[in-house]
Amino acid sequence: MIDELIRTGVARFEYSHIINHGPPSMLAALSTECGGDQGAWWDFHDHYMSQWDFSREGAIAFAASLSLDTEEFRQCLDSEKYLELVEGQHRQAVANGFNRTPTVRINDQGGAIVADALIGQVLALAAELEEEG
Amino acid sequence: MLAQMRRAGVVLAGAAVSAVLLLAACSSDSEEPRQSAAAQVQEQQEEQSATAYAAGQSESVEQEQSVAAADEAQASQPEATQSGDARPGEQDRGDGERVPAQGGDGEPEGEERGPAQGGDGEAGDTEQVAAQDGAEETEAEQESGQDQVEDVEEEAMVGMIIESGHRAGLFANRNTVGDPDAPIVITEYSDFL
Repeated sequence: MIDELIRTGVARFEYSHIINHGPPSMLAALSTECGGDQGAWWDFHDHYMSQWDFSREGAIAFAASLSLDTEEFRQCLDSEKYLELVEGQHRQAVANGFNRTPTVRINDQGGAIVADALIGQVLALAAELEEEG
Repeated sequence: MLAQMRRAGVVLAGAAVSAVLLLAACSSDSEEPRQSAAAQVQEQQEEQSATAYAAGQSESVEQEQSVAAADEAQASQPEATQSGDARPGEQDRGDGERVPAQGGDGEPEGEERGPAQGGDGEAGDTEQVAAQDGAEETEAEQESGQDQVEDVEEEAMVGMIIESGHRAGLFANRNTVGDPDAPIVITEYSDFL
């Protein structure tokens, strides 16, 4: 349902990092951003959502499996190129009072909601937009 | 008798001498008028030529005077232009109409007033061309600025179409999936652990 709204241009989905579990969380976040430099942001997102290897070697191995430039990926990780970006998103989430994950917001309104409530809220908002023309 | 003949001879001689003198006088009188007439003719010719030259001189003098007057009039045009209600670049003809001044400092302000004539007018044309060039350059700069903005927007739109997974076919730019201008924005704050 949400995918259909995104396909039709009614909605878009954004992901923002929260670091609640220390270095493994930070490594996963930095690896995802470094993968994004080579067009593999969502590959790393789905990878970390489906497995529990949060090591540096595991991230480099996954980059190699995607045929990415592993040297560039390694340098991106070691330089902590996106540390400021990730920490900024985390600080923003904490400032909004989001200390539990996952937290979903729609148009920067509301707080933590479950999937069913999210779908219902999005559909209601889409219906309002359709009526407005 | 002889004395009478002598007296008669003397008288005749005197008469002859008188006649001769008279003839001589007559002949001299007739030549003088001729000479005077010729001299008069010559003098008249000389006078005519002199008069003609003088007349020519007077005509040329008059022409020079008229040219000088015209120059003075032209020289006085800027003053006349500045005086009265005439605007710069125009001459007040006195009948309420204003005509473009020739060689004045009038700057072209539009087609209604006509192009200025003379050196300053050419300078005005040059300024107008320069102004047009400046306007074209300004437009070119504005267009280049718009192009730069469009380039930045295009760079912001750079992303990829996800090829696999349940988001296959969706446009993605790093952490965003979907149309960047979509009215509904769903944001997930999450940790991968």
